[in-house]
Amino acid sequence: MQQIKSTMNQISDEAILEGIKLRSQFIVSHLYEELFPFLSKFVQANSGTEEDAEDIFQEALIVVYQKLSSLDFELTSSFKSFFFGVSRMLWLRKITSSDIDDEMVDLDEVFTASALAHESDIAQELKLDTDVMMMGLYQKYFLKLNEECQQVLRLSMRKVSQKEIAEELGITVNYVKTRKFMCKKQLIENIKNDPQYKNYFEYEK
Amino acid sequence: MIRNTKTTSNMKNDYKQRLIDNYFEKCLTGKEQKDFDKLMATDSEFQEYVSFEESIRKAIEQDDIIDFRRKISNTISSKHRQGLFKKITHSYWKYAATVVLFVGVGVSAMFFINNHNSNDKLFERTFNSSKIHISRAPISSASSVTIVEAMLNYHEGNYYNAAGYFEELLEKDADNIAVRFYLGISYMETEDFDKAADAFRYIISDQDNLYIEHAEWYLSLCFLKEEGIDKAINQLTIISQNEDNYYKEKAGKLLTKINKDF
Repeated sequence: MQQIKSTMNQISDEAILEGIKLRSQFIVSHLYEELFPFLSKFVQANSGTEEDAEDIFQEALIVVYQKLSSLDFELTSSFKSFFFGVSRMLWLRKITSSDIDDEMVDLDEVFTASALAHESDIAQELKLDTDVMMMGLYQKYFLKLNEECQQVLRLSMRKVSQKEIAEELGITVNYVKTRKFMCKKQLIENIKNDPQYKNYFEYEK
Repeated sequence: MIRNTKTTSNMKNDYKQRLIDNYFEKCLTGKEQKDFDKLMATDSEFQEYVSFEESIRKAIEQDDIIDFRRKISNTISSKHRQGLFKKITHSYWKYAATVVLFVGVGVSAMFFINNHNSNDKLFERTFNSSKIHISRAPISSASSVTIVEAMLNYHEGNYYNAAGYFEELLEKDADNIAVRFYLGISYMETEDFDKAADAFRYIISDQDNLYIEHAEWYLSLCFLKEEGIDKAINQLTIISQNEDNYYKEKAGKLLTKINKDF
């Protein structure tokens, strides 16, 4: 019996956007396979690490997801071009606000052309989204808290009473109070210790 | 003295933190409200802190984005485990091989341990749809949102939704054997074995497609689960007696196991 090709490489831009809207892990996985190697090479050629590239990959997907929520969003290029353009701008912003001032290296024609072709539009888009960058930082550290901390903070901020939180998590009200205080403190400290926290503010000034 | 100063400072900070908490939770007392307003009017650091905390609260309230971030992080972690650039596309044969429990480890000791397995246990040990990815596009055009939604749901394990989409697709294209195969697997996952068996019978009766051997195998598993051991034995015997059938060996081994246990 003949070998059968995968559908993976045949996913249309429309389907990718639909998948992102649905927050599909399948589509994230596909995009990681298809795009991350290029992005990682680009970031690492520009003073970054693979971990930086992963952060940019995540932030770029979130930017696309949020753009898809706005009614006036229209993809005017291929998804790949748009994604690389967003990624490039995010990385540019990150290194502009840090000590690195080397000239940016683009890796290949595809990345350069796709990024530059839409740079001004994307820059305009991202300029409006500094809040998104900060939100990203806050969310990143929120997700690094343990599950119990996340639960306590999430429920507290939804104005669920401490008694109800205690019942939901099977702990005492006093423990909820202590956990809430400690978890929030830890979250705030972690955010403030991130070098990007100050950088973002300085970039805005 | 230094300790006392620090303690006083900490108490002040704790009080400020309580004010902020109570402000956001809308439960400031009269005195706290006054203190809060005064601090907001005179203490720029306090103002900044309130604003900062407001942003954090907004960030945490974005459930959809937090969910998406978690999925992206999970995907990245998972890719690390798999090897960063390893392709997840697999050939038909590779998947077909992994579908069966015995491949790679020979006859699984676990499967052949000398105890009394029920049909259910045999089924559960043999059927694992997460490993079924016969990677032929069951589609004529990859741009169809319905098809993509069907496959997205299938790959994410949302088999009930996937079955709905596959049914919808078959209404428009009843002869699409690949869609029918995925529908059969989705039915199995949702434990609708009668419908799954019907889907596989349809594929077998078509007699001219790439899915017949798989349909025969999964039909035998449906029988094992739902329609009784005799039907399962008959179906497995048919498979095991066909020299060209990919599942011949597996069917033979499963028959041996059934004969031992029942």
